[in-house]
Amino acid sequence: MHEEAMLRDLRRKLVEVGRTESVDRFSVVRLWVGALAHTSETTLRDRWPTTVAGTPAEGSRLDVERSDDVHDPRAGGIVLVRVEVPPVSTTTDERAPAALEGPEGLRARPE
Amino acid sequence: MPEPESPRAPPPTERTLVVGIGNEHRGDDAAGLLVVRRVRPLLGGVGRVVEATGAGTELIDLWEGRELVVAVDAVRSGGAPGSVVRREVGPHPLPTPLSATSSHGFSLGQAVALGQALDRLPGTLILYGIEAAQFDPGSPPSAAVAAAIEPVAQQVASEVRRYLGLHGPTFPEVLADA
Amino acid sequence: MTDRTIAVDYLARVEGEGALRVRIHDRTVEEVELRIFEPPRFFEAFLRGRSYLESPDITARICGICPVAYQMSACHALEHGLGLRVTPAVRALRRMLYCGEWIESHALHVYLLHVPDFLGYPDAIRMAKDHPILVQRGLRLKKAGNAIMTALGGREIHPVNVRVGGFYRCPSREELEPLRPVLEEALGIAEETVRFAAGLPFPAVEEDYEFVALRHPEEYPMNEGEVVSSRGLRIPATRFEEEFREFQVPHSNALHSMRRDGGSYLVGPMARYALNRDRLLPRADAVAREVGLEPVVRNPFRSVLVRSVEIVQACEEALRLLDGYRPPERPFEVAAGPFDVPGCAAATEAPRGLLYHRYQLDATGLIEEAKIVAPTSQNQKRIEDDLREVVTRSLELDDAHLTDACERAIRNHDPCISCATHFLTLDLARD
Repeated sequence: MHEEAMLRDLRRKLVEVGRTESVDRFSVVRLWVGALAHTSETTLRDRWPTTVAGTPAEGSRLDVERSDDVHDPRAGGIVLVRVEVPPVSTTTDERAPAALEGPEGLRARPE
Repeated sequence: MPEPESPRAPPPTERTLVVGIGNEHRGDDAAGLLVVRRVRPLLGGVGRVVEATGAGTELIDLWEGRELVVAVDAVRSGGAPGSVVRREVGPHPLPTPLSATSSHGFSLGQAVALGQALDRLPGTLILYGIEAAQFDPGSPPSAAVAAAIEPVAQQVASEVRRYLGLHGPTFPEVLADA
Repeated sequence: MTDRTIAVDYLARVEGEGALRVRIHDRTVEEVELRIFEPPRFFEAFLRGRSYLESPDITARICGICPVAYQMSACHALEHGLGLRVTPAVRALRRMLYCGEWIESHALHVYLLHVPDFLGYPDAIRMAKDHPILVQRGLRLKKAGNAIMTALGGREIHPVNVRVGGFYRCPSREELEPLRPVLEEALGIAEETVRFAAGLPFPAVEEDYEFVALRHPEEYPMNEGEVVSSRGLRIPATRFEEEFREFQVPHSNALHSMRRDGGSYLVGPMARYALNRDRLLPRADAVAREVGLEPVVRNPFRSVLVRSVEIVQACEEALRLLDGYRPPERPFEVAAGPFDVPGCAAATEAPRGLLYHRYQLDATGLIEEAKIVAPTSQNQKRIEDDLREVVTRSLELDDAHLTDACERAIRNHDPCISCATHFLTLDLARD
């Protein structure tokens, strides 16, 4: 199933971004949906919680930008545009709950 | 209805076949079907023009015994969407871009390879591959693929006409159409 | 302090349509995930707002291999709810059309996909060079099936003649008569196929399947019957969704069809045969006995034999129907309404197994909701179970040979063709 396959691929990408950026929680995920992509914003939103369960995007806000340009070379696809990371963020190797409370847990991530 | 197999040469209308392969509800996979739908009026009843949506092995039955077969399918080879590859099939294996074709189980490339292995190819087999961007169920063809339909149809039709004009009896209606 | 933004700009990709993920940890198979293209869900959405009369034509495009199955399930579901009764002649024609599809689909699977596995060829093309006769036989059978489809379906390869309530046009006896020699020849080839398949080398494997298929009081099932299982279930098809549910699978968001209690089950030739062995026609029965085919086949590799017996059955049945055919007075019945009724649901036996459709129409006959449960999605969980055992048995193999073993296990069950062929991408992780 095509849409399913794209969502799974996005899920993999989100996990990868979390790992390479050492971030374990995103606050916002922004998607761009091409004019010819065979999906609707409603469907995406309906499926989003299960798509991202267990990834850094779990619980994040989903922003969807729908394009109406059929000539865009990506018109048939879905693009993961960007993710946002909350100012308080822990890296995966600082997972200890205490770190969340202490000053180290509040350390801003470098841009 | 099955036709009795005749040892004689096929009637003129059966000498050539244009076959479009694809699924009209799978995005760019419709390309082959759209091309033959356009070829049909261009040829005005000359030769057979068939839409194939099945497993691919039917192609061998369809093309066997014909002098010229032109098959049109969507391909995914990494080229720009809408770009067109034309390839005449000989006894040697196809290059990968044309053998790894669209979303059908037994692809055009496999049908060609099987036809080669069984020595069941038509006299001349020409493949047109239209580079696809997406096979999304229910979506229309991409703009780039849609734009390729008419030029490919024109080229396929003139290919058939040229063949019949050069090698067969004259078809006044073909010449008038040309 | 503001949120940090990470620009990604990544276009979601769709990989090959068939993919298998296997995770092995410490010589234990931890995860087996089979990804198969499931087009029906898109068509469910695509059907919304369209006339119920369009459903047979539209759903026929879901699968290039079994268009008739989709047409049949669509027609039966709608006719059931709308109270349309088709004439016996129409019923016979439909069954004959379905026989054509069974012959085509099974012949393709047996000779072009499955047999090469047993003879040690990577595919039918390589096999054709050494054993052209085998491949020609397969193509010959397929052609016979295609002849039926062309005669009744209305167009080569893609049938367009079927409609809710009957056929747009029913052929005369004279038009069908040329099928007789074609089918007689095919019947002989099919019997040879069973004898040939019986001699193939089968690995000694047995699986504990729950088989699910239709069962009809008199016939080997095709168009109608109750839904029965080898563990005692017996329900009308309209109650299918009470007993079979789609479950969310952990670690992915695919839906798998399972029994209500979450167990896997198997539909398709092995299930039909196990539950309807006593309904085979005489020649199919005789050849099954001749080769000593067990009444319940639990070895998935031996499905090639069951499929071959079903080709005999389909040829024999088509000939039987041809003998008794008289064109109906009216080719189709028309529904008068009301349309917004419950109960537009039915299951038929596609070559690959049970295919369930349900529709909810509005007062004018437009489709409000469509539900399609295809054989492939029903078997997916069970195929994963088979794969887990294959991988467990084959841990010592290198990746290439393990991929082969997995592909063979999948081809035993003939899931949707796009991944039954050699396109599987195996994502194998050993740690």
